[in-house]
Amino acid sequence: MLQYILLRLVRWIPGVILLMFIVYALMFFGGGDPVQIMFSREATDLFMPGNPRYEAVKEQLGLNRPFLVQFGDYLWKMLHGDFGMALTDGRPVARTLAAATPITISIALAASAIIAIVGIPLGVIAALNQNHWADNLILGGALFFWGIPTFVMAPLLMVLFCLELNLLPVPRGWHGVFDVNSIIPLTVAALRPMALVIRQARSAVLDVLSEDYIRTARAKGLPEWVTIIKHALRPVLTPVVTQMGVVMTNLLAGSLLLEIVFGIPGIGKLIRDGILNNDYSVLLGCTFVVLALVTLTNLLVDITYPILDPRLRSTQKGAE
Amino acid sequence: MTRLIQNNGRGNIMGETLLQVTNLTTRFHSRGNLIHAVNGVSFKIDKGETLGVVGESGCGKSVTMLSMLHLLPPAARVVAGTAFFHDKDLLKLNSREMQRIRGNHIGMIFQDPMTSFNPVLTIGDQVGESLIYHNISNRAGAEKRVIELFRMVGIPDPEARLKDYPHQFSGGMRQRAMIAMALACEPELVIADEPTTALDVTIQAQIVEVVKDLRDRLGIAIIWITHDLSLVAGLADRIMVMYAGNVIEEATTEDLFDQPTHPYTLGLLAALPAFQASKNSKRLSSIPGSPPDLRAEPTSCPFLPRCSYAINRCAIEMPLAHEIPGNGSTPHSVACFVNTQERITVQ
Repeated sequence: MLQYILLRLVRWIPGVILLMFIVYALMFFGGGDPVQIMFSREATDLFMPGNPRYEAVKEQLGLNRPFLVQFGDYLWKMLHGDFGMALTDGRPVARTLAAATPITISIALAASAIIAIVGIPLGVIAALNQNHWADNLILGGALFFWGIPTFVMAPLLMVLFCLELNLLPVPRGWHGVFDVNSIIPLTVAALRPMALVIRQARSAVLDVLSEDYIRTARAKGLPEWVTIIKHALRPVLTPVVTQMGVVMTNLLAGSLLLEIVFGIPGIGKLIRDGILNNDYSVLLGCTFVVLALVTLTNLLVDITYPILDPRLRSTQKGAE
Repeated sequence: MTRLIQNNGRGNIMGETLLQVTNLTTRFHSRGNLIHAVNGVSFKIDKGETLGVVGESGCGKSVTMLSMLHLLPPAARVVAGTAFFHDKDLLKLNSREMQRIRGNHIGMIFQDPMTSFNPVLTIGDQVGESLIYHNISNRAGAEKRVIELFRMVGIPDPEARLKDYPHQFSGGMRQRAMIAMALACEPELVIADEPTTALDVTIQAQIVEVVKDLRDRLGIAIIWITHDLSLVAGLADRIMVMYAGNVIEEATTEDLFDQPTHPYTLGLLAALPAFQASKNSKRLSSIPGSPPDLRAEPTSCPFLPRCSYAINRCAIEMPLAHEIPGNGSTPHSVACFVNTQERITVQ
């Protein structure tokens, strides 16, 4: 198992380097002059190319070196936890990331938990009532929410719950998952991807219910609830966990809109600010963190498979 | 011809009727069409008796059995008939009452041991769970019983194999486990739905031996569904031949092999390698044509288009089962207007 995880990590490295390279190159050749960005709020004419002070800063930061040397230097420092300095505020990027990452992770985890706790049972209920009104209601509802973009849903919910019904305060910023301010952002984060999980759970249950082993379970005279919970739901978990992995990935990497709408200082907001300010050291740091989180999610999903399906367990035994 | 028939030498423990099915009729609804899957099937089986049910794919063998146990897919409906198991009509039971019968009094062995086991649960769990849910024993007792059952059906090293998953068993072992599963609650009747079809010929013979041995030791009644006449020849007391949802011939095994009467039975026997008309013929004989479209309401003999004995009456009327003189202990009945033995029309 450990060997398997290590192998996965080793395979992950070339992908990381390639993606970092692409982002680095994009910013290097298209992101504007970093020295000008750094001093954009000060006397700009002092920091024009040709000015000795400009050249001195450039020399000092090593920005005169060739592209590949700079990239290699960046990777080397990254290995030691140094993501460089933000161009706009001069703070270390590592510290900024350390503040923003837990927020995005906790939103993704909380939303995933809501999706799993609400979405999977809804999918199962829909399957057990196939083509009846409950099924139609659940599927129709899922499709409805799937069709509403985050930036439409978020203001609508705020108008409804904060202004019209006056039930909740207007959410702004982030005060932890269990704060009353988090109800609306988490709802918005969970509603759309939940549609995917509901549909996946529903179709997986329908598939399993037509399997021969369900007929065997019934032929043994097991009560229907045992047949469903013990024999049907266990095999359903595999495809549902796969879908949950995709959902989790989307929540981690796609937090941009949600965080902008609610002013949450997570990775998404950092990415937006980085793009607006041409701050490529921040952008590169964000890219790396999102990449690491997505890979970690996929790794977790892969580790879950053998726990859920004994057939995969012995394949691994054989491979070791 | 009797070469194939072995005397099972069990003496006569039969006589008391265990299951009496009368006029069982099942229909499927499929895209606006009505499929006449089972058309008034009647048969009975005594305690400890083995009944072979023979016919080609889609002739209603399995559907008949699944109808009785309420295991039909949602698109199917039993529209008429009774199935008395002891004094209870299985077709009138509600789902709770049926649950108490299934697995407990009537065991079922399915065709494909690969797909009939749940891949994510251990074999031991699946074999023993009916004991727990029929309140026969607790978890520890069920495990003990499973070990005993594994030994009975010839699974080596039962204590260890208990915790194995289905994919760790070979096809033959899985089918043995399936038999153990069907026998767990000591049912009076076991319905085996083509239990050897998915297995190698050598494994087939082993499984038949296991079942025969258990039947003789435990005195259970068996309904053995197959499309292989030669397989049931050495196993069944009586054989029922089905075609297009009808029972077309029923007789004791000896009688059926001695005096096969329905043209379809004759065709099936002629197709057996051991029954080839000429020993040096290079090809096995076969029945021309294919089974009828079950969407049409049956009004004439369903075998008519493939029958070489047909007379005019066959196209106008549905032949009903009637008894003909036989030499077995139970009547020999045939649903055909023609006496193929003498080619004389029966009036």
